[in-house]
Amino acid sequence: MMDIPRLHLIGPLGVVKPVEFLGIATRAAAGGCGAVHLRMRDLSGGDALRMARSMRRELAATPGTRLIINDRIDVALLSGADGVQLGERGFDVADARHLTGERMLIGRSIHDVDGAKRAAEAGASYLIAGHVFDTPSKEGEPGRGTDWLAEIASAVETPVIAIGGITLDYLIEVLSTGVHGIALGREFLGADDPKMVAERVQRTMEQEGTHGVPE
Amino acid sequence: MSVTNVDRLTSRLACYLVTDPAVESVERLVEIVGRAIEGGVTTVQLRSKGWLDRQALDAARRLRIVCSEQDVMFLVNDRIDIALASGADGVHLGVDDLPVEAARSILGPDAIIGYSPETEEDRERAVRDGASYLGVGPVFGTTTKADAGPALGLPAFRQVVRSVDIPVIGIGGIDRSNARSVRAAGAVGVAVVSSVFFADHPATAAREIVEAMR
Repeated sequence: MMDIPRLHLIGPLGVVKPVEFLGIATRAAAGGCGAVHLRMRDLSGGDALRMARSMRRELAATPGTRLIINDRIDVALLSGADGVQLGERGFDVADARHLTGERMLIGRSIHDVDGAKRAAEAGASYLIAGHVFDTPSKEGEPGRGTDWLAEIASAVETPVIAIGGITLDYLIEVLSTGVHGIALGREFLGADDPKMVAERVQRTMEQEGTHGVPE
Repeated sequence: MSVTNVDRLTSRLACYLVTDPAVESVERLVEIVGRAIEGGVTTVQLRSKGWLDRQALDAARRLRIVCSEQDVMFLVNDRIDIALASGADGVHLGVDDLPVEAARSILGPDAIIGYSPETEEDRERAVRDGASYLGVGPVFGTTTKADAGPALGLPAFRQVVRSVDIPVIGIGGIDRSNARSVRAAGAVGVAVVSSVFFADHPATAAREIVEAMR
């Protein structure tokens, strides 16, 4: 089993065009971003595969960065991705594992302690938990907060990645909950230089200890 | 594909039901498909665009069982992962979906891969890349797909059938009144959507089409 990345970039989120996202993700990867996620719900299968293959090519220069495809396991298999991210109402982990084989990472998005425990038991490689703070992509649904996040992180052995409205200002607060890492979207997409964002996060994570264990 | 397999594919393509994602529930979907199979449908293609993956996989697994019980072929539209996870016989792909060659690389030589070409070039590439059959249309005017383009008409349809050496089914505006003419133009079968799927009596509607083609 490969190591679970600590910094994840989530895109393209409909905020930037797919082609722009390729550039942003490449810069983030150059700064040490460990995983790039492609959410392509609005794309046709053909476009999703083209996007995933382009991203795979762009990431060839940074072999340490994992390419993760949301939900479409077929696109993940065909693009040579390193993993799949399953929505809470996506494939079961066991069904996904059957298709991916042992090689791929399988992440599960969760929104409560029960969901986290179920996903951990089902053998997810890591969990993405959120949303932690208010975020424009979840309008009308307030963030669940860092106490909630700490509860999730302590409920399972599986690495937890925090998501949702996280900005660099909140980084230490989020890491102090005991999560393994964080997922950023807008913080990267809106940055002048995504490479610098990734470097700054990496530095902070190193200072905060290997697995973000609270002091 | 061996000769026996081509014969088997050809006979199973005779009456091809495409499901409509607008159906209100998976239960209702399974019920309609069950009735349509009673009426003589020989292939079922699941379309689940816009559905949650878990729901689509649940539907696919249930349809797989219903179809297997009656020796009906079961295909999944677009999603190779759902086809694999449900044990479907194969997939049906359109020009915007995953490419035929990619599907073949994952599904292997025995899977059924259908393709709906839009141009002559699409058609030739699909045959080269290993498509098992083509769905060609719209043969007649249709209200199911607003983006389906103008009707081909029977003479143009007949030409398409002659231009390829894999089985072709006709789709688009086909009902009991014209199914026979599509068969006569060289189709091994006809695809039906709303005329059976949303019929008051799907079994009767399917039976009428099957009988019209005799």
